[in-house]
Amino acid sequence: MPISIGRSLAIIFIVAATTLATRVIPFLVFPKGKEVPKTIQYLGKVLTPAVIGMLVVYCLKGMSFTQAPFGIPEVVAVAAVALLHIWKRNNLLSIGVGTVLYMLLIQFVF
Amino acid sequence: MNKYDGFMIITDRKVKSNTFTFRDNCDTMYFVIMDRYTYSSGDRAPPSGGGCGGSNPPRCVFILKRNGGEKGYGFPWAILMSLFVYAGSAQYLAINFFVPGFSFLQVIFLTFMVNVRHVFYGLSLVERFNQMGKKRWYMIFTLTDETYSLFCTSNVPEGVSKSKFMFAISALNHLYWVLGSAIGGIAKNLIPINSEGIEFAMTALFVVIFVEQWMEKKNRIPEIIGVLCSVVCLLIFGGDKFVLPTMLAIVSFLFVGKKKIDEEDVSCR
Repeated sequence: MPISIGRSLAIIFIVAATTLATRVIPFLVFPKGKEVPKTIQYLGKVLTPAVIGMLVVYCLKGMSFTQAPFGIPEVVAVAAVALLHIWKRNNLLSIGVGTVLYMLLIQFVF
Repeated sequence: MNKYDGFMIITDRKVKSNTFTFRDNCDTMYFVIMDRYTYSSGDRAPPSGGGCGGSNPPRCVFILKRNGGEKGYGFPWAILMSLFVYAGSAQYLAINFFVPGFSFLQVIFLTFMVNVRHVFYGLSLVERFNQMGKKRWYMIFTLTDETYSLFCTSNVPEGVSKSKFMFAISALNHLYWVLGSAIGGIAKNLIPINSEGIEFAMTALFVVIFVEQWMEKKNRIPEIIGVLCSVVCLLIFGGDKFVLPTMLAIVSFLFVGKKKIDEEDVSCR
């Protein structure tokens, strides 16, 4: 190992603690028993669809329109997933077909 | 070449290419990403119609793989990470921390930046978790992207306690994640297919949820706000730094548009 076991364990501990901190912060700010303010209740409702939108972009942020293959596999596969889902509304089918299509595209076409 | 070259990487595709760069620079360790895709019906059969219930999100398996010599991290390290860190992007990123000269402050800062989106998840679940007694500490600890998206899209079956249902989702996801690391570590050489691109399953999952939510008209304005803020911030700040500005922008616009967004009908079930 390039660094000692103790340091490796310390790094894992720090990563774990920092990750936990990002998860626990809202619950420390709004602890049990304290009424959640109206604004946070509102956010709790509308954040979900907004965050899902953000996650889609987050997943696709590595794609590039200026370098080959110009994001074509991603665009094609995302469109396929969306259309298939609007058509059949079957989660497993949409995700499965979309993923296989994407794998075929990047492994064999581009 | 700087051995930290690969450290600002988050996306799956990029990680893959950077993985090899990293291995070449520092031949004592590298990691292999394998993915498996689990569908567990959990408590019920996959729905034929709407809802995202029944599907478990894609699981990535992280392995710190030995590369020849006596130095290196075996799969017990990956299991340790999966058990206690339990966050995909942070685990990818953490691979790059195990080199001499990487300061603890850098570790904290980078981990925080990658995971800051968890704050959002917590904010929208404060009320529900606070009703769950002591269990809520485990719920908070295991709040991942996938668990969160299942909370938002699964319908609790009739006759089942909501808090038990949510607890089961969290615990099963955690279990699959750790098991995935173990299986990946042991069986990594036995899987014959080229899994390049399988990480797209995660993207597909979010696209499916996006479409599902889009079907409900009331979710559309927040969804558009989410996508537009993300794209604009991505263009301005770049892939490594756009999440925090995006979050601030989303919250701002959600408040600006509060009147337009009919709050009573928009809900995370």
